[in-house]
Amino acid sequence: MADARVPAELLRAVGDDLRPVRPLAPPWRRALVVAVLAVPVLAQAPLAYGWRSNIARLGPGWAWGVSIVQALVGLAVLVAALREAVPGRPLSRRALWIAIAAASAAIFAVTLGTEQALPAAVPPGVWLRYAWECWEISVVTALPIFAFAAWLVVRALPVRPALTGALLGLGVGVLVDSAMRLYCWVSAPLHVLVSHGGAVVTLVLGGALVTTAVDRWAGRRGRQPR
Amino acid sequence: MDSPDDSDADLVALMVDYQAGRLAAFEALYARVAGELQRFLAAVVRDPQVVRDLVQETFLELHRSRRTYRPPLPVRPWVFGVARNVVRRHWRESARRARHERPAPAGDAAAPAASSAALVLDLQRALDCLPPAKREAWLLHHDEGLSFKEIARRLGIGVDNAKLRSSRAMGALRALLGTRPGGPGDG
Repeated sequence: MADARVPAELLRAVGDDLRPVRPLAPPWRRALVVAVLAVPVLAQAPLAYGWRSNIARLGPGWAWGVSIVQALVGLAVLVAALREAVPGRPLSRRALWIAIAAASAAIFAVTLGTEQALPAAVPPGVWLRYAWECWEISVVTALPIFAFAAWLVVRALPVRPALTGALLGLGVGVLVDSAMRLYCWVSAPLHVLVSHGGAVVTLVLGGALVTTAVDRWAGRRGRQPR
Repeated sequence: MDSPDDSDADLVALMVDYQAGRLAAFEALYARVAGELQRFLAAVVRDPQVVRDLVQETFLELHRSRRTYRPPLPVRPWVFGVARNVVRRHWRESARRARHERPAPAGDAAAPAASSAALVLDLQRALDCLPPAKREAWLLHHDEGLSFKEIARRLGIGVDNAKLRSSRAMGALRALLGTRPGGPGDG
């Protein structure tokens, strides 16, 4: 049994640094802050490059309605990541699978549904260029949101940093893709899944790598990032 | 010692005071959970000196990250979550150091150990091969004697998940040690 008295050295270290702190906000509120930041960032792509040329033919339901639903799924996954980030609040295996399945289902359903509602193929000869452009714009657009959300995650001290980071990347990826589909007029599943889906996968891998790297860096320095 | 579920409300009140900047609350929190932490760490690390160091490191980490606790959630899963982080880093650092250490010359080899000691060593090595989550669940159940309900509460997971982790750890240990089912049961 450990001595119930605090060792003098530990007590001194804690006493020297003791000041009131405000407890972390619940995950949904932290995700809401991400959403507030995300709105102007996500508006950049369609505002800079123009709304998808066939948005009127797609109709408000398939354009805005579906994007809003997809964004909400992305935010829900982000809430899960922010919850998982806090020690003692691990997601169950089932919750994890539900989050991953919901995100994947959202991307597939939106892609296939949009293709059904308004087929639009990539013009011949530009497949690779279109794929590269959409991937690049998706990833670049995601970066500020991703960086902010990653900061929220790592400062919460995740016990499973790689998993938490991957979940964070998935949430941000789905969120960003909900805006990208308002810019990219192509609805061919191959383009959407490879290019837009590829960006989501990139963010998933990036999330896992970044949070793991920060965790290791913090571990070597013997402290948590603030 | 407090039973695991007797006074989470008291611990929550202590954490709220601690977050408000009261040193006495930290001392009271230490008095309440240091013993449990020490047993938890001893179950997964073994070396008593390292355990003492890790208890202190865990409290330092609890202090640095005290804002990540959200009242009125149960305190223990948060405390043990932070402890798991500290242990995970300890293992990673140990593995990194081991990679950089030169192997001892053959002439320095210790005398052959007794067979029981060798078995313990084999078990320890096999345990080291397991993923941390499974190792913890197995050690808490088989070494510390906690029920699955207590393990679930301590690790902040479901009871079924605690059983599953321990059971899978047992299966992996059997495979690693080359033993057949029928030995020590898992339940």
